[in-house]
Amino acid sequence: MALARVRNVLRVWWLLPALGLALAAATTQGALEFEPADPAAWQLPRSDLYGVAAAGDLVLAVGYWGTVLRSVDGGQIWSHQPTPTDRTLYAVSLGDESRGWAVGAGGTLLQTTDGGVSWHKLEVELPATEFDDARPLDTPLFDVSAISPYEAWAVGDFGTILHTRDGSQWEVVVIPPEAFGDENIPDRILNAVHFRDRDHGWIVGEFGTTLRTSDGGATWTGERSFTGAVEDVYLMDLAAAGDQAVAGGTGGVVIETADGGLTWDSARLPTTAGLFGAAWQNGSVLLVGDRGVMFRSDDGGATWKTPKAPRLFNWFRAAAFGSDGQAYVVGQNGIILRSVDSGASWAQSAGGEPPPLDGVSSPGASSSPPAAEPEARPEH
Amino acid sequence: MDELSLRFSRFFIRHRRINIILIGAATAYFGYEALQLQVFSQFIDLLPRNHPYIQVYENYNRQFGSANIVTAAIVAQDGSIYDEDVLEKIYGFTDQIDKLDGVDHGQVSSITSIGIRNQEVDREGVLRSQQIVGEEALALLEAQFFTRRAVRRALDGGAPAFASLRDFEAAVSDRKAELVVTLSDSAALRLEKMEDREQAASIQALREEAAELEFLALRLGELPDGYTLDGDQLTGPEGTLVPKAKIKSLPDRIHQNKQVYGRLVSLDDTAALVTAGFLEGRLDYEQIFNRIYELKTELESDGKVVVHLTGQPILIGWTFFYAVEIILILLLSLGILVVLLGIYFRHWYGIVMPLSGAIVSAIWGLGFISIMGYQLEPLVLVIPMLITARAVSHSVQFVERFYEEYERLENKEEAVISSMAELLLPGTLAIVTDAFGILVIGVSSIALMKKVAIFGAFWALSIAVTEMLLNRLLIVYFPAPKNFKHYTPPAVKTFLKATARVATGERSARIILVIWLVVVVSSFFAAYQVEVGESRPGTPILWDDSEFNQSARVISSKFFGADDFMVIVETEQAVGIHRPEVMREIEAFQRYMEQDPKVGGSISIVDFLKAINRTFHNGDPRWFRVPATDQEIGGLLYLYEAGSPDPRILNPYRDQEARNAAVRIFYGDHQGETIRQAVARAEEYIEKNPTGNVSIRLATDRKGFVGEVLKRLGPLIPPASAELEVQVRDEDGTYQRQEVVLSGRREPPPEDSARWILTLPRMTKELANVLKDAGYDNVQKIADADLEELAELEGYDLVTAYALQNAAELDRRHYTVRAEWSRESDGGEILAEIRRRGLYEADELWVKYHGGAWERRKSSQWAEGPSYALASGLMGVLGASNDEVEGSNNATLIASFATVFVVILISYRSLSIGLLLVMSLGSAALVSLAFMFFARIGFDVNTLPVQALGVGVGVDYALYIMDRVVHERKRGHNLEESVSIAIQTTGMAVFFTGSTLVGGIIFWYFISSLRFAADMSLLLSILLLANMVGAILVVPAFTTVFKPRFAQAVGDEGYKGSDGAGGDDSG
Repeated sequence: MALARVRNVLRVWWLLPALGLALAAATTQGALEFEPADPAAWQLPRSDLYGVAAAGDLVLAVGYWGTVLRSVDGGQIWSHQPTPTDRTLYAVSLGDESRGWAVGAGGTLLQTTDGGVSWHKLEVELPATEFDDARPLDTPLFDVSAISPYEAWAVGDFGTILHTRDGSQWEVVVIPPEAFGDENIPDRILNAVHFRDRDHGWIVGEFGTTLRTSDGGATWTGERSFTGAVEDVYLMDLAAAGDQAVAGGTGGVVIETADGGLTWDSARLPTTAGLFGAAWQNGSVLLVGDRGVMFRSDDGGATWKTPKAPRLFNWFRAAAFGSDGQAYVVGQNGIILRSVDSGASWAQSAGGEPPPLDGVSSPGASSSPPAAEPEARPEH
Repeated sequence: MDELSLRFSRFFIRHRRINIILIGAATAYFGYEALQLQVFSQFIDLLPRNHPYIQVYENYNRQFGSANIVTAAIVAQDGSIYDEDVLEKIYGFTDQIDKLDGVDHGQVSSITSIGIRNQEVDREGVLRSQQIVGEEALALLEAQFFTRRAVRRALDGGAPAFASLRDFEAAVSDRKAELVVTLSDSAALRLEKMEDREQAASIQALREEAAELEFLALRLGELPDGYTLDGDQLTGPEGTLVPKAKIKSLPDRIHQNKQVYGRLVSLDDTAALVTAGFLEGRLDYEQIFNRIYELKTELESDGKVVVHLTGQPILIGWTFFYAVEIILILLLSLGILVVLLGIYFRHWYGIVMPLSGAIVSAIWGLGFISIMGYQLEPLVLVIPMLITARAVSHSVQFVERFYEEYERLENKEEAVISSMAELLLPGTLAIVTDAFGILVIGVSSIALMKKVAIFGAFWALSIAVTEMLLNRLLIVYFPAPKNFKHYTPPAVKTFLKATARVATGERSARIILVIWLVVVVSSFFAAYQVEVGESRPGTPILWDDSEFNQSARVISSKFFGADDFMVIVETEQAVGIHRPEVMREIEAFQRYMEQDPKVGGSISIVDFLKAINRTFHNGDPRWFRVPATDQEIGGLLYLYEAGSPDPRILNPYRDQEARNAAVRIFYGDHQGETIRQAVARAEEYIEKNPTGNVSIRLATDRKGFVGEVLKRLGPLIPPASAELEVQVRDEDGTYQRQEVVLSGRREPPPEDSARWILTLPRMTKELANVLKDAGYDNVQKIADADLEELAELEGYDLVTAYALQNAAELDRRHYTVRAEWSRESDGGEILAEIRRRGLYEADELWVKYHGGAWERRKSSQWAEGPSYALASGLMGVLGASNDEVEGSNNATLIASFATVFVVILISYRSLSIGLLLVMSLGSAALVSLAFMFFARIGFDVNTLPVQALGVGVGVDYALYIMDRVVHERKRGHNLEESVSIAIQTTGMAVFFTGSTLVGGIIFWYFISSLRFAADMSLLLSILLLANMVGAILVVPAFTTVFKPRFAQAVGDEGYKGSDGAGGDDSG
């Protein structure tokens, strides 16, 4: 009896695949698993660029999210260089074609010894005070100026001034309050520093700060008087040649001095846009700023004209001269402008190589150095 | 036919008078209810409520906006938008759409809306924000827009052109006074209350005019000196409406504003976007659609701009627009069906019977919808059509059978009883399987699907009464038929003869099977690739060249993203968002997501913060960054709010307590693939970047092969059990997984559950207050309340009240704690539990932090620090919908196959019949899926019920054929003869029923304005044809080759078929 049943069932065996088919029909949809798109196709957004520096044909531009762009052909082709930080880099300066520094948010201080290909972090220790223990510097650094491959100065928020003589050891420099030459607090925003040689340097910042030194930073003077501009104008950047200097600030204010910074005149430029970046070389002076404004003087600041440039709305934050009349301007959304005639005319530079795959600067990409430990996790 | 069927039929016909009265009364009742049927659409009905994304969405949509959004682009035809005429139109559109019934006023956005602002710091250091176009310019644009309207009204009303501005002002003033009088007149008020739509609408129009004139008078009064009126154009001293300088600086401001450039203004400056979010409840979409189109026409009248419209409300509006067309097409289908049937039967019986059954069923069905409080929307009209087609099918069977019996018995009453008894079993079976097949759609958590399932099942079951019972009664009362030879075209006869030969030949049958196998296997590979979700920009409901889809393409090409993917950042306490590390986290997340080339941009509270920080620091771009301390962050944001006219300006970005924030990422389209990528990318980031000191998540992924299968079973099986995943960050920054305690203890429901009201789904503070005021101040009371009374409360209706009670009811139950974890630290205690309150309820995460109350985490995660909850926004909602469709699709197919199988097994007690039938169904389904792939139709919420229904539509054919084969075997024919006879007789009926149906619906493809209807008609036709071919060719071939048990010798126990006597059985 059972055997007969089994045989009957076996007769039906061919219908089992039918059932399986039916189930397969039911389960086929959506069986295709999703595969994420090729990661190499993903692009880095065009990071805002805040600083630029050139030495010969080597040009570096730095900015948001630890971005470093490097060019070796005078700014025509650019490539992304990995850096061990996600913090925004605000300025870069080259001592020569191999060594230089970049500074940025949160006390970030990077050094390169191979012309910007690789970077390592430097730590600066703030000495203990009566209020605090010794701790690493974490205030934003806004500008750095290289005197030589081994000596440089940097400035930042809270009146921070740093100095190095060997390139990797940096010290905090404290200036007596009276040196500032005004009644404002010493813990002020210092926006730019410029040294033309070991001894002569300038620092500008908020409250109309213009500090000068002619003895390598042993003493500083801040006394100044302005004609035609308010005393506490917020100054963004400065460019100088000898005793002459030009500084730009908010609201389109431009002040110029010819006597090493004691007295300043206001230059009337036809703009109310903030002027954020300045550069000077061989009589050509550049001022760049908000909303795409650019001004150039070819007579050391006596007269100003608007150079020929693409009409853009990006803010420009920094300008730098290279060799042979090359000049660069960088700014919002990764814009890079390039000139070959000392700034009389400008063209938008071509783009660079595609950025690294994972989009986040890979930690530990640094080569040699002192005090560099790769992060377990990119810090903010 | 068995004793039972016979006795029932006899009984039924004997008492025909009573029966007809009963049926008549029921029909009258349903008819009365049907008259009160409401046609409307509800956005929330489309959302799969149980999906985690929708849980997040519903938790936050009142704060961060609904996904029911109209997206409109105003494109300048000549030049850019920086032209005062174009700006005027942008202003006008934004203003008017904000005034529509059903709009969420906080969610209207364009360059002229007050929330879009630029900040600056004045000389005293005070942060001031200015509307980006400029308040002065906006006032002028407003004045101009309403002046145009007022002048046009005046001219239409017969007034002469205005000589000067002053004349116009006077006229405005006069008219205002006039309206005040008219509107305060009690007659007007009475008219409005009278619910006569037209009268109410005209009063409403007058009210709107009065309000417009109020503002106009104000603005005209504020006009600076030197303005003149020329026709309807206001001109200022410079010769333009707006001082040139104001317009000149506008492009700069727009290009610098990340919130605007590329998103609200196109990258090439020629188009401006206006988006408006709508409420999710019941809205009069027809009215909304009409008003928006009126607005569009008004703005386009001078040819300076073209207005493009897309978005869910517009789409629904189009379906309402075409609703009449849909109904006409359906009626036409029915008409064609009727004509074809008339040709077939050559007797008015063949027309009246099916038609009467269809109509009565329709009345019952519509009445039922009305009783249940459901809505009828245009897109679901296809379902009743299919059910009606089934009804017609059954009718045809019955009339055929009746003819035969009449011919045999020559007594009308006896013939009716006999034919009724014979078909009682297979007919009822077929109806029940139909109804069940529709009912299983209801497993989905999409409310609309549940409604369709319920009313569809009812409608299908009602056919049992209308066709099976009513038809028989009617015939008893109608005169007897004289001529009942039906139409059999010779071509079809020859074709069927040939088919029979092929199906019964041993060799040819095998060849057929091989061909069938090839078709099935290749269909499998095509079916495999059908996509869930939309596969091209725009909507598949309308044709590619429809206005809606063209507009969608324009918008997606001009703007880098009109479709948003929203991720919510949650923190553990108030002001948690204001911490710098949280802000920087959000910044990092945004940057990561923006790397996808499909992303156009993103926006969150961080962008505002950075912009304000920069403004506050003299505009220095270096300060476009997250400040270093909580206080600075809080301070800057407060200043921003205080400096703008509407302090709620940051509401779309973070909630009032600053505990949760929204990140919106914009994409160019919302295709299924794009959504999947967006989700994958976000999940990748979240996976690689755990945040906060303590991170708790419910991990419910089903992995592995078993997991995939379970996932495909969707709602049929209880929700997956979740794992409690706790990670704690060490000092060195790495995360350690923590041990959790697996519990299982039962806990009683909370005693005082007043605080728990807010944890109920879709609950908000306002709704909770409504409940409290009405006396329902704790969950127990809500659960005990009377459903009717709850539904009467403001903001509630039957469906919401029911859901509320259900949820409250859950809270009364004991719950099981499946896993728990706790930690003591200096700050306090953290406790976390997984609770489950019922077998089919999902696991819930509950967290108690530092002595606060237990909190239910809708997003199934919690962190001491920021945590990311996916996903909201249009793409989040669509993603959930796609997931649901994917799960439900399989579930419903499996369920319908299983139902068919089980029902057949029970009634015929034959495994082989069941398997054969399911196999036939399965291959037809596969073929139809392959068709979907080639026709680039994807699965979505709308195709789901049609597909599920369609699968069951053709099952009868094979059933009747096999039934006939058995019948003939019992009569003594051998297998070959039986199959041959079955194909030529029953096959004829099958052929005809099938082709009439196809004939009835195939023409939709050519005349429907809705691509959806066209696609569905093709799909159903393919399904029907596949089932037909399966029934008359493949199933017989199988029978020939494999000679299954049911086709064996007479006397097999278990089969209850007709008796040995009887003529042609055309089933």
